[in-house]
Amino acid sequence: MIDTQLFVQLITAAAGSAGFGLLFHIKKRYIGLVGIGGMIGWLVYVFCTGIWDGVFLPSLAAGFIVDVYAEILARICKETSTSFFVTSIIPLVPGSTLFYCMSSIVEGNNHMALIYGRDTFYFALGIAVGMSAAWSICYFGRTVRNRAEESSH
Amino acid sequence: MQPAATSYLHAFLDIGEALLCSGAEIFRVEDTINRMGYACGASQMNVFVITSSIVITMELPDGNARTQTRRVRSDSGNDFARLEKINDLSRRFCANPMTVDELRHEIDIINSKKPSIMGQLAGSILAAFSFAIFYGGNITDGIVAAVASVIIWASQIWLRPVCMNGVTFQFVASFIAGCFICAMKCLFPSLHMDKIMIGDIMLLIPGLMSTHAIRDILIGDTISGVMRFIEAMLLAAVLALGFIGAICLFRYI
Repeated sequence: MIDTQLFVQLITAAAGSAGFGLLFHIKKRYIGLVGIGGMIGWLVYVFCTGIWDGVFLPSLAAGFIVDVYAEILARICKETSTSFFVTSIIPLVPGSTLFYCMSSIVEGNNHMALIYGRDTFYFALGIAVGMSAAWSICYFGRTVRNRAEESSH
Repeated sequence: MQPAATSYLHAFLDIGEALLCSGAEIFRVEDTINRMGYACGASQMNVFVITSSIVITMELPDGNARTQTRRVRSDSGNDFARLEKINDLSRRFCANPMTVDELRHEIDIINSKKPSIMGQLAGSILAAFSFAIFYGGNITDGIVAAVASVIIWASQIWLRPVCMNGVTFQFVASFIAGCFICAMKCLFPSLHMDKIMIGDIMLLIPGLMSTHAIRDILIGDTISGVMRFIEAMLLAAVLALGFIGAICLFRYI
């Protein structure tokens, strides 16, 4: 079932990322790339929720892949990877779990509030760990390559 | 070059501040200033940056050392066009150091270009509309979320300058947006209030801030990470309070 829901989510994830691209004043010609990044992040997340339970590992994988995408674009476009990463990761920002945590508190349902609050934190942690892992691997690769170039001279 | 060292230092502080306020990471700010310092002839650069302050000590080949400090007070916004320009300027500077006056002139040009508020309006509308639908709302929900995002955008422009700090503003903005959405829900009961609220929460949520905070801690900028993490928690709590306040208010009316 390649359902319409996933299709709608991918389109709106791309549009949402592009919206944040405008909001964060990214250069106009990169807005399409940012939209594709948002789509990739959500696709990886949805794919990984089929493999792993919970939100931590899927968001980690998505953070990792999106950062790799951002690093590649940064090399090609000669820009910083931050601007691509920040805008592409937006669809994974845990806005909905924060909202449901909040509405559970209003309804006096502390049990659900705790679960949603924990998920909100795991989302943020997963993305951060994933992107840090990808970033340190890229850094490692860059340093090794620079060393190799220096020794070959 | 020696008498100019102090004025270079001043330009470096401006660059550091511009980078911090455009959404650059701590390590990027430190790295950029280090490189620029070595490029203009310092024998050693000691740069310490946290989210609210920049300290640079520049040791010169003749044995003198100069230190300057900058307290950074403005909120860390995101302006990636400016980030790219400063980054580009620092690369050019490192490849071929220019004089202080040229450097200062370029910094002033970059800082004078503010992002257009219309672009921000378009971005807010697009983002809120998309995320309301993304989380399962229909087109009508998206449109209401887009209208609410215009309210948030307007309060960012007119209310932000009169609010004491970011936390107060976050509460006011989320309360106003929450009240608007609840009022729409009262008028049109077929709307999905949760989806609309999530769409607008995405605009205000310090999700990126908390991700950055955790990342800072992981790569070793612990002080900045902890500061930013606490700020993000506070902003998230206040955001929730604002929306809860609006929901409760309309429940009793």
